[in-house]
Amino acid sequence: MEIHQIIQAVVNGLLLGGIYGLIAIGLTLPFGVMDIPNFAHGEFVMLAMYPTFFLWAAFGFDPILSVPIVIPMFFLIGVGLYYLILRRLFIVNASTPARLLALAGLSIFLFNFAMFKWGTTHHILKASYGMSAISIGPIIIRVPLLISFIGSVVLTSLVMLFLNMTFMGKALLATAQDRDAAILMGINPWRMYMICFGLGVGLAAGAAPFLSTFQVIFPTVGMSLTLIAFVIVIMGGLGSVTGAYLGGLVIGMVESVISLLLTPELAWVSIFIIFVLILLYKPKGFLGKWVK
Amino acid sequence: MERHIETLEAIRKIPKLKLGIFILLLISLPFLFPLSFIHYIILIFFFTALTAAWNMISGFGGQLSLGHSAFFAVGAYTSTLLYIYFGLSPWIGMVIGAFLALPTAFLIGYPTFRLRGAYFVLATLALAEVIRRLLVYFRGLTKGSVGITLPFTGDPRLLQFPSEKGYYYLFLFLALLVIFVGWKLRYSRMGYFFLAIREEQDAAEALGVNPKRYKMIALLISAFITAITGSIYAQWACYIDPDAVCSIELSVQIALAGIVGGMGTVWGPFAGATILVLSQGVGLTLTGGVVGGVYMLYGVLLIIAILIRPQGVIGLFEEAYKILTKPLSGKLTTHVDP
Amino acid sequence: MLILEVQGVTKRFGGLTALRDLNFSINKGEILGLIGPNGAGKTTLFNVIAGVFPLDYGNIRFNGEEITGLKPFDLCSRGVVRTFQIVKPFLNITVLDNLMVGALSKEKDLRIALKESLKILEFVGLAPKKNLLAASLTLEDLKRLEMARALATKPRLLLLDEVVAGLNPKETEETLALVRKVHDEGVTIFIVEHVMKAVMSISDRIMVLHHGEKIAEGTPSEIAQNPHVIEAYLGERYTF
Repeated sequence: MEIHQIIQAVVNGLLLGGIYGLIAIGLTLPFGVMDIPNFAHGEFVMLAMYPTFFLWAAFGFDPILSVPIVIPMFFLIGVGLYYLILRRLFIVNASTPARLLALAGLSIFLFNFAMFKWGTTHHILKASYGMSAISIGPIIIRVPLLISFIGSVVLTSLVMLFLNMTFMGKALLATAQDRDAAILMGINPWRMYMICFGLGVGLAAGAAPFLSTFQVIFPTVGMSLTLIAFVIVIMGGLGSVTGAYLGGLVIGMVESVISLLLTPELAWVSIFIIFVLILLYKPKGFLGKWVK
Repeated sequence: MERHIETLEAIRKIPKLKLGIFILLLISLPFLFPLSFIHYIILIFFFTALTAAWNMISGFGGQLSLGHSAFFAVGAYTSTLLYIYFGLSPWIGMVIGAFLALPTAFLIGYPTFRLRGAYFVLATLALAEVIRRLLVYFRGLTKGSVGITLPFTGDPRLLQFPSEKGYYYLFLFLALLVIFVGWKLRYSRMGYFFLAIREEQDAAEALGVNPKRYKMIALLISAFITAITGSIYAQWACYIDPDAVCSIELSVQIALAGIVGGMGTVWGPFAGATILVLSQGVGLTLTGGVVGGVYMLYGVLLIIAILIRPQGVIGLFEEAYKILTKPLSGKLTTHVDP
Repeated sequence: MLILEVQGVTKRFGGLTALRDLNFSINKGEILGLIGPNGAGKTTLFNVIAGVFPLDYGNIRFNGEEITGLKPFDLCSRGVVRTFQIVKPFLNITVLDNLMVGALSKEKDLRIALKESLKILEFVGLAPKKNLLAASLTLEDLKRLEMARALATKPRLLLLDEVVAGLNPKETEETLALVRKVHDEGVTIFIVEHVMKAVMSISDRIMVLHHGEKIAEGTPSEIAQNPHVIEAYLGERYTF
């Protein structure tokens, strides 16, 4: 085992971790703001990969072009689902596990829907740069990974700008910190929840085009993404955007390095072990709520 | 003594006659109906056992599990591997597998029972996924995704039977046994504690009830029985692979049956299992076996179930079931199952 | 004989010191009242003794045995039980079953637990309602149930958390009469209360907390005339 192999794994893991982080942010927002564990989160990533693929297959759209298309599209889907399902969950005051169960139902529906509509065959999107790489010394940086990482940084920065600089973003944070006070300030918490969930789903979709440049597309690709995202979110602290992104980077690197040193399946096992350790020693996560 | 507590009353009021007739009826079915039908009934008993075991932690214990296939797989693979490599009788392998399921359950119960929220559910999901991957990883041992085909000998000493009839009675016995254990748990001192923990955990603690301990007891018993069911399944189906025995589909089916049948009740799992198996038959015919068809329906059903009755997620059919099975669950006092 | 000894107890929440080096004891068989202005730390002290909050410094002894840091269910098995200010009945089961939960934590036999529960229901006056769902009771009855449930665990020290809060004068009198009745059975009582008249009339001794520190301790009449206490409640202008 040469040192440069390890560095390679760390680099790859970091780049991949950017996408994990982006996905995790989309999960941590609804979880932290409205206590909605979106178990269908990975499915939204999966679903967004299909229009990305079809736009590429039919019109040669580079996946990056799909980003500004799927994000608003799925934001609206998220808003729709809020009205259809989430609102009722709040009205009946469902417990957190019950909410997770309802969203698990959605998850089951969604990936089976994908199987039903598009079959189980793998779709592979071959972007023009799909196979390119740049080398820095002995380290090879695959272009799709690099672009994904840059994309994740850009989108994450936009989210943080939104949350901290815009009125609506600040209203969202306010609602998360103290709902009653926010109401007194004239903020409509339900509107905030709707936006928050739409944003979460939109971010999941935003990760999809990047993912599609190096990940095979099939209906159940979302499931493991969901679980990894949950581990990241709990590790980073519910509701913490920074925690989610950093957690994503960490998990990305762990997965990559363990895959190298041992095997990919054991990488999963180690993530699980990390999960259990976090539950044992730091269940609130490292960065807590709403650390900017 | 007047009729007060539902617990003593349930003990006194087991409608022995009605129950006896019901069981006799079940015993006689193989003689009255063709094997294809019997196969379905075996499935009902199979899911009854699984769901009743699941109900112990998710219903009584109040901790929803979406990863019970993990324990099922531990049982199935342990007894199968011990049989294939060492010729150990699955009767013994079954017990070993069940004991292996215990530390597995403890691993996820211990950190999460101290916490409130959705941590336990997530842990069960993660556990099932990890075990599935481990089963694939150790393919030298487990033949990975290819799966293991067990030799069929029909030898009862090896937990196999020459005809479906034998399996029918085995699963019938298992299902009744698990329901009995559930009944014992429900109508006992522990049953009171489970209720109290679910209703008002803080008050229960103040009154001397240790929530972590009782949740763990429920989980361990549940895992143990689920693993045993896994071993028996392996000897019936004679084929196991990670995607079949350790799948999210299985976990969800069990949970769906439990929720629809009525969580925290004694006969709910039986009702739920029946509905599950019947609807699967119906669903397959309706959607013509199209991939994903039936499960899309399950997903929607699950969502609807939660939206309509989410507190403790009481079964949709609980009212009807209560009327139908009134004699079986004992005289209903003013007690309402949460 | 001292049933409870609290020594050097300090509890901080982040930067706020809620309890500062508290020392006091409760004599066996007495009723000790705890009062103090809002924010004095009464609830914090109560919850520390009840095992809900861990303390930062100090120790607590019950009948000479160290109980610092024990969880509520361990405290209950030693004989220390609390009631809740905002009652927490098991709503969807009967009054009798509510008691059974408490009784069963000390008594393993269901039939014996049933007998004991019925006796306690008679004692507190809830016997006619034993088969009603807890959800259908009035607030006063729920407070009664709260106490009955605690009694079912055979406590030696009963911690009452604002047991007359929200009750009208008549209900308050009836509840206090019940507390006295319980006390007569030999149970030591530690009561936190805001309603001055109630706590003054029922306590053998009273302790006053202010800003997390004990500022006075004594009989009700001594406390009523204590200038520090008056100052804490009413401000300096009213001391004389």
